[in-house]
Amino acid sequence: MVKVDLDHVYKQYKGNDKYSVTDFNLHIKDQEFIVFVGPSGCGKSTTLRMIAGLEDISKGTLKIGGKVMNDVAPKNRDIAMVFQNYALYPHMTVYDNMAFGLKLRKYSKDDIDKRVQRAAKILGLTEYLKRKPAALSGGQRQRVALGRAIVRDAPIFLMDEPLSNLDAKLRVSMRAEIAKLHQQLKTTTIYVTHDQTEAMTLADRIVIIKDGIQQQVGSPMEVYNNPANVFVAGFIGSPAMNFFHVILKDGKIVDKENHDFEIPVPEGKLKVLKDKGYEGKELIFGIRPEDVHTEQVFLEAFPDQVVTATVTVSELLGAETQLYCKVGDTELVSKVDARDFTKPGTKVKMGFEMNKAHFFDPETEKAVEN
Amino acid sequence: MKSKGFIEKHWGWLFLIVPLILQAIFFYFPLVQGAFYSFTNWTGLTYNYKFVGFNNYKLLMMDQNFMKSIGFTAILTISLIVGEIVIGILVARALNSKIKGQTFFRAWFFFPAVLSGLTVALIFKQVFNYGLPAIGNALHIEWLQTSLLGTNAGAIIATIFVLLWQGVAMPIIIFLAGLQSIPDEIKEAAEVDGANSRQIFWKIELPYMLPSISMVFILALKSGLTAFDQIFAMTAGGPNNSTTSLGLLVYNYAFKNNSFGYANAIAIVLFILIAIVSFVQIKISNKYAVD
Repeated sequence: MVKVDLDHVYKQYKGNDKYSVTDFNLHIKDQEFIVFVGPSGCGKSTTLRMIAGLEDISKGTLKIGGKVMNDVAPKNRDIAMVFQNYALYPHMTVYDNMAFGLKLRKYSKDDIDKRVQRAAKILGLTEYLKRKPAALSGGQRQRVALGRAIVRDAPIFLMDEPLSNLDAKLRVSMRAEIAKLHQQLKTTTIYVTHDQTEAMTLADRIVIIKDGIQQQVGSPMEVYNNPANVFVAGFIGSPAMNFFHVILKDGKIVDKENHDFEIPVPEGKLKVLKDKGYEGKELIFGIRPEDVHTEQVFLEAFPDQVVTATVTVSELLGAETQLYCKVGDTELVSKVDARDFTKPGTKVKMGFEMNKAHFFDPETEKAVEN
Repeated sequence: MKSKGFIEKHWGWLFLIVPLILQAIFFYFPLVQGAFYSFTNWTGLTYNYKFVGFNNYKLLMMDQNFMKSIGFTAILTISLIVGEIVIGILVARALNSKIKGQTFFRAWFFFPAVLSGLTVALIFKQVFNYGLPAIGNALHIEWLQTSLLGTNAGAIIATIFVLLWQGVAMPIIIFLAGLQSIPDEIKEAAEVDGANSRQIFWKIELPYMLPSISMVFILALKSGLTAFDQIFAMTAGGPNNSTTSLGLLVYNYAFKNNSFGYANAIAIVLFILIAIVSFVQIKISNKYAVD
C-alpha cells in the first residue's frame, strides 16, 4: 500500500523571490490516478519533479508510504517516471532500455528477461525489442518509456506530459492505453498534463493548478459541475464556459454594461445569492456552451431566459455545431446540434439553462453557491 | 542535343573547380611529389638525382635513429592520446558542474590553445633549465637540482608534459560540448532508474561522448605523430636523440643531412601510419557511436 502525502510543500528557485509552488497539500491514496492540470508554467511539473526527487523541496514535507522523503535520492524513492521527450537511452536497444533499471538493481538475468518480455507483450513491443529508439515511431518510443516504468513494478508512476509529443490521433489511442494499463496494474499514478481532456478522461481526482497555487482538487465530475472559481470553470470544459458581468436585481440578472438581457434566477440559486447579500450587487455569471440552447422547444418553454446573439463564427464539427456569437460586447459560445448551423452575421435567439448556471464573486472570483 | 544534357548533368562541378585546383596544388601534388622523391637519392640542393628504387626504405629498416624515433614518437603519441582523453574528460566534467566562476575557468583552461607552440616551449625551457633547479636547490631535492632536459627520461617526460599541457585545452572544449549535448532528461531518467553518478558516467555519458572521444583521439594522434615545433624549440631532439620525433627526424635528414629523398621516405611511412590508425579508429568508433 503506497500513499503519497504532500504537506505545505513550497518550491522557490534560487534567485527568484517568488515561490514557484505555494503551500501544496495533497493526500494521494493507494492505486489512485491523480492528474495535475494547469497552463504551462503553473508549477505542475515542478511539483511532480519534487515528488520524484529531481528538484529539492524548499519547505514542507513529502511522505511516500508514510516515510518522509524530502532528502532521499531519486533512486531510493522506488518510483518510475515517464518523461515528455521519452528520455530513452539512444545507444541502447529497446530491450536494454527497459532492462537498464533492473540491471542496476541487480535483478537476475532470468528475472529481467521475464519482466521485459511481459512488459513488451502488454505494450505490443515484442517485435521491436532489438531495435534502437531512433528506429521507432513516436508512439512506439512512448510505449518503450512506459515499458521502462512497468518492468520495475514500482509502486508509483510519475508521468510528465507523456503524450504531448504525439500527434492528435495517437494521443487519443495512447490515452486509452494508459487508462487500460492503470486498470491492469493499479499502480498509484501521478500524471501531469496541460490537456484538460486527458485530465478528465484519466483521473480519479484532478488537481488544478495556477501560478503555483492549487485551485481545486476533486473528481472530474466535481470540478466540472462545481468549479471552485472562475479559473477552474474556464479551464475545465471545451469550449470554455461563457462569463458575463451581471447585476442581481429583483431576482433577475441584468447585463452590467448594456442591459442586453434580463433573466430570472431559479428559486434555489436566488435564495443562496440573496442570503450571501448579493442583491443589487455585481456577480460573474457563468454558463457552459452546452447549456446554451437554440432548440425551438426550449425557447418556447422558457421565453424569459432567452437572449439575442449575433453569430460571428460558426464551426460545424459533424455531430455538433459550435456557434461563436456576441451578446452586446460579450462573447458567447454555444454548442448546438449540427442542424442548427447558422451563417455568420445572423441574429439568433438563445436560451440559457439557468439551473446549470454558475455564479462567482467578481472580486475573489470564487464560486458563490457552495 | 547531347552536349546540353552533359552540361545540365555536370554543371555542379563548376563550383568545385577552384577548391579542387587549390587542393591539388597544395596537397595532392606535394604528396605525389614526396612519394616520388622517396625513391630517389635527391639531396634537395641540386637538380641531379638518381632513382634508387626501394633503397631508402631498406635503409630505413636498419636506421637506428629511425627506430629510436619511432619508439619515442609512439610513447609520445600514446601518452597524448590517453592523457588528452582522460584529463580532458575529467576537467570537462568539473567545468560542466555548477561551480562559481564557471565562465572564467572555461576561458582559463582554453588559454594554452591560443598560444604558439614555440612560445610555450621557450617558456617551459626556462622553467626546466632555471625554475625547477632553483626550487630543487632551495628545497634540497636532489633530482630537481639539475635540468630535467639533461637526462633521457627527464627530457621525454618534460616533452610529454609540455605537449599535454598545451594539447589538452582543445579536448576540454570538445568534451564540454559533448557533455552539454546530453539531454538532462536522459540523465534524470537514469537517476530515477537507480543509477548513481558513477553508473551514469559509464553507461550514459561515456557512450554519448564517443564521437567527441574519437575526434580527440584523431587530434591527439595527429599531434603526437607530427610533433615538431615545441620539441624543436625545447630540446631540439636531444639528449642523445631521445626526444627526436619522426617530424623532427624528417626535418633533420632533409635540411641538416641534405638527404631529401631519404627524409621523404620517412614522411611517407609516417603518412601511411597515420592513415592506417585513423581508418581503424573511425571504423571502431562508428560501431559504438550513439545514433
